[in-house]
Amino acid sequence: MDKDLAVLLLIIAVRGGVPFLVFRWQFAGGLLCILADASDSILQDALGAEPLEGHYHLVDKSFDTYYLLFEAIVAYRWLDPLARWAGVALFALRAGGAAFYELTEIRQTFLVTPNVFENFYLFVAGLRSIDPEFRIPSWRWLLGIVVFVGAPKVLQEYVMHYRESATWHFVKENILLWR
Amino acid sequence: MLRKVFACGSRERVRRGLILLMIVAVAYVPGGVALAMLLSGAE
Repeated sequence: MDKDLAVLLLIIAVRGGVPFLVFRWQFAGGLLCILADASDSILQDALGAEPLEGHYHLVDKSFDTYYLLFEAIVAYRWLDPLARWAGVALFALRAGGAAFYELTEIRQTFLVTPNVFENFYLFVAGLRSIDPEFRIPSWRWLLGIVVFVGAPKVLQEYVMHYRESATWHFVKENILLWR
Repeated sequence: MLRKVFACGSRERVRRGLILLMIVAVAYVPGGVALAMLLSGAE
């Protein structure tokens, strides 16, 4: 089999299959989705194939929205109304931003529609795996949680999408020392 | 609040500690990398 095709099938299998795990393990499944998200760049680099060349951003963003949708479905089932509706609203903000980007190709869109949902989801899912009865106590707590998990994400979006820096290459060359 | 979270057996305490660590790491490690890129002027 052609190497590019094999890597493409592997990427589709990983990124398409892993999100189903959030229905079984809300928190661990969410963490695995992040690893799966990183896997496409890593697989391409490690195996020396570029099946997504020229289409990477479209494919990556589509799979991102796909796995966030699974997490949004889980969030929608939470019994805590503050966590549920904040989760759904943050997902809608991100999905709307991704759709707007596809229509306009303005990368800065992601700076005003940051993926705070993912960090928020993992925060609530993580605390729910410690205490299944966990509830966000008040609007003030909700605001604090969103700021706590959202601030680093806004910085990340600024670097990735406003400055258009290649994060993976920076990590690879300066942190992992993989040249 | 944290004291209440860790009021449990040792294995469960480790599990809960790892979960809290992961919640913070997932948010702040990529943010830290972004800050490092910003401060170093990496493209």
